[in-house]
Amino acid sequence: MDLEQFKILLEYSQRSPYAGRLESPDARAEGENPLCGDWLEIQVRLRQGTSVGDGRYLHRGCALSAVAASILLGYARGRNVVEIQKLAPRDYLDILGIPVSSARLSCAFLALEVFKTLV
Amino acid sequence: MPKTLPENIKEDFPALFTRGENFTYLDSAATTQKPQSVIEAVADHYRRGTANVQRGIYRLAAEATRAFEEVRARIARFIGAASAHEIVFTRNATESINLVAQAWGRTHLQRGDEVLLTVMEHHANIVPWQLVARERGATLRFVGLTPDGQLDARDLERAVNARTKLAAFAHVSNVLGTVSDARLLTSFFHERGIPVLIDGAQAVPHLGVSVAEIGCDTYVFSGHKMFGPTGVGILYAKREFLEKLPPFLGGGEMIRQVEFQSSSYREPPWRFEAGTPPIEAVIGLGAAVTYLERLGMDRVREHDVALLGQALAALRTIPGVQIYGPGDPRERAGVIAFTLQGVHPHDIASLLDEENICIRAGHHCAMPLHARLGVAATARLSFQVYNTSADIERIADALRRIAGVTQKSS
Repeated sequence: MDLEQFKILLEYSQRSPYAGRLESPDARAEGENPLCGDWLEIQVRLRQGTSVGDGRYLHRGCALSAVAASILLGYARGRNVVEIQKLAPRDYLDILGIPVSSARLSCAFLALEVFKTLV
Repeated sequence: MPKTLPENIKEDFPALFTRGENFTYLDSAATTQKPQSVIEAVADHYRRGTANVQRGIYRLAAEATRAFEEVRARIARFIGAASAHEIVFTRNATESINLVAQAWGRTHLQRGDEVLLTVMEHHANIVPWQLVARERGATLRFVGLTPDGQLDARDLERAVNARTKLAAFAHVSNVLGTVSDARLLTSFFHERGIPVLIDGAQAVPHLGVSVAEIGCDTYVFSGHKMFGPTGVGILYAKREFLEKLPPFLGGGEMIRQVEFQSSSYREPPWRFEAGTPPIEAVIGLGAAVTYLERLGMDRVREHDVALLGQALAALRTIPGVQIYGPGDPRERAGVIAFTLQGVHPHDIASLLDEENICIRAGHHCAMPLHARLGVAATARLSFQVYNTSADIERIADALRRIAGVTQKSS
């Protein structure tokens, strides 16, 4: 990740329409990477109980984990919750569309891991 | 002897020239790059023939054993130990601490006893004690720090009590860089009849250490953090301390006689060296000690202090930087941990990696310390003899540009 890419990630995460809280979410989950201190909470409203109506995330930590949460929630809109939870790692990375080095995989995957535990 | 390290000392380290011109390695606290003499010592050992030590009758085996034991003696001299028999080879400092925690802990800790540690300990000097304390019904207590990252003397007085059976502390913190007064602390504990274990993993590579002067019962360090290979660590312990300990690991080499149901054990240090030791790693460590002796630990220390001073000054000019640990470079050794507002340490490390600069980010195996500091993670620079002023200018410049990104977009 070079400075230009980082600038873009940072601006993206700062302007994400998905950052913040939902009023009366139907489901929420939180998780963290204790090894690096990234923390994430995801809240969603559901349509017909099975698909994502709207989502928001609260975040503390690195830019990569914030951006991944934002991209995931953008992708999840209108899609079936279980379908997202079953995303294969390869497909998830394709959806993210940003280069992730092997050392940063846990940062990138935090959003998916948290999404998988939505109740 | 001249006061400074040789100007071209970096050339002793081949790895620093194989990864591009601007390769800047600032993570020696994690592991050190190796000088040519260490590489040669290990390769030479293989080329000339290796043999298992302390077993064979043939000449090659006798030579291997002699070379191996000669390193034991050299290490004893290097740290001022009274005898080579007070040097135990382990796998690393972590294993050395586990050895004491298990062998001493199981036979000396009773229910209600306490082990005294500090909040700045590395996990290696916390978890082994947790394991044995749980087994024995003992508890752990932690001495707190001053805002400057030193051990809080008042907290120490409060924490030590009649139930304290052992104290363990880091000579140099791997996060804050704090150099503790090992001798003063050891006498404080000895006055109260409390034996002492000192984690010297970050101290031995940067300071001249004399266990005779310090007076500690035990002292541990790792080969790979002082230009030696991975796979070898040291436990120094006074003869009287070692003699009271039962074996830690069982197997070949540490026995005198083995029958089906029971065995008798050798005297220390061999009692604590089960199985084939890391022979070539020990040989390599011997060469590393020779390398440090030739440089002179005084000069190594002066170089470290100079780099720390320059780095601290540079970091302080970058907006949004917070530095953890002592402000005075003479009160630290080897490392500087810091945070940068608006940029997570992992992002800092990734960005620096893009410029071929290696630093560490995270909790540095000191989660309790980070919890106490109120941060999830920090970035850490660490220095060794192959680092230069130019390295510090390079990283300061990079950090300034990174800080600039968050300033503009906020």
